[in-house]
Amino acid sequence: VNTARSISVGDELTPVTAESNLTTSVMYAGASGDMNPLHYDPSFAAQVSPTGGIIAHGMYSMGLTSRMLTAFAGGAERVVDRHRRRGRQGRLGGRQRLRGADPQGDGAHPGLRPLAPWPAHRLSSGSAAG
Amino acid sequence: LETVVALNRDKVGSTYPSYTYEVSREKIREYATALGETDPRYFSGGDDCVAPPTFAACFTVTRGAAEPFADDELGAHPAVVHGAQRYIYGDRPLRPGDVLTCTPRIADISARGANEFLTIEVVCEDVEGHHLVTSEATIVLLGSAPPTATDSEDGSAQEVSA
Repeated sequence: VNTARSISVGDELTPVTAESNLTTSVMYAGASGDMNPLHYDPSFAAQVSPTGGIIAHGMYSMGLTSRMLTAFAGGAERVVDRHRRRGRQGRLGGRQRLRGADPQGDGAHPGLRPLAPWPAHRLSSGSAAG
Repeated sequence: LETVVALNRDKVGSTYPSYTYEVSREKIREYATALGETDPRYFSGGDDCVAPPTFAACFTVTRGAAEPFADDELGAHPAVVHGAQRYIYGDRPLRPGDVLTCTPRIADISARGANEFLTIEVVCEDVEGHHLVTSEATIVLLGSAPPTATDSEDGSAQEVSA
């Protein structure tokens, strides 16, 4: 565990590369309990998805950026506040490379440039949403 | 097409019944595996096992929103996107065996353009009432904002200039 490190404006974090495909989406759905079919059912996604296809859980991409930030911070003990704003919605497929820098230089809220998708979430079960 | 009504702002500050979640070693392992995590402590069978910071998603995202979305007085509708998510931790990560009491609360309701923003806070404490983690989920409800009002940054309502 890192005990002290200096952080400078513009410092880049060590990138994380991860797959984003149907398998990763099904795994994240099961692990997180977010079983919205938008994340794994092609016919459902075709009706309601803003991209027209299956999109990844937003919390999957937050989890991946959190991997990068937690490693940078030196472990889960050193993470006290994690914040993710909405990014783009994206289709599944291929490999994501996530990178980030700290434009404020405060270290507490590293500004990210996430390249991963952020999905629509439907929080209630039942009929398809528009 | 069902009629979409605006959220009831009188519900800001309202809490919903608490629920319990017990953190388990195997669930941490499953969650860490789904994210491709490599920190060995997420997979440890020993006392050093901890959960990744976003593990709290397992019991705050859909479960924390279930009661508010079932509350007819609040008036939430299902055309939503997850706008933002924040986790604020106490003095340590979650560990296997933690038994959490999780209390959802409507923290904020605002509007911008045609959309409304509903912030649901879920405060999670251990059995002694010690704070472990708080989730703040901002849900964007599409298209239900009142047509004439939008909110400034400080949350106060103001008229939209034409």
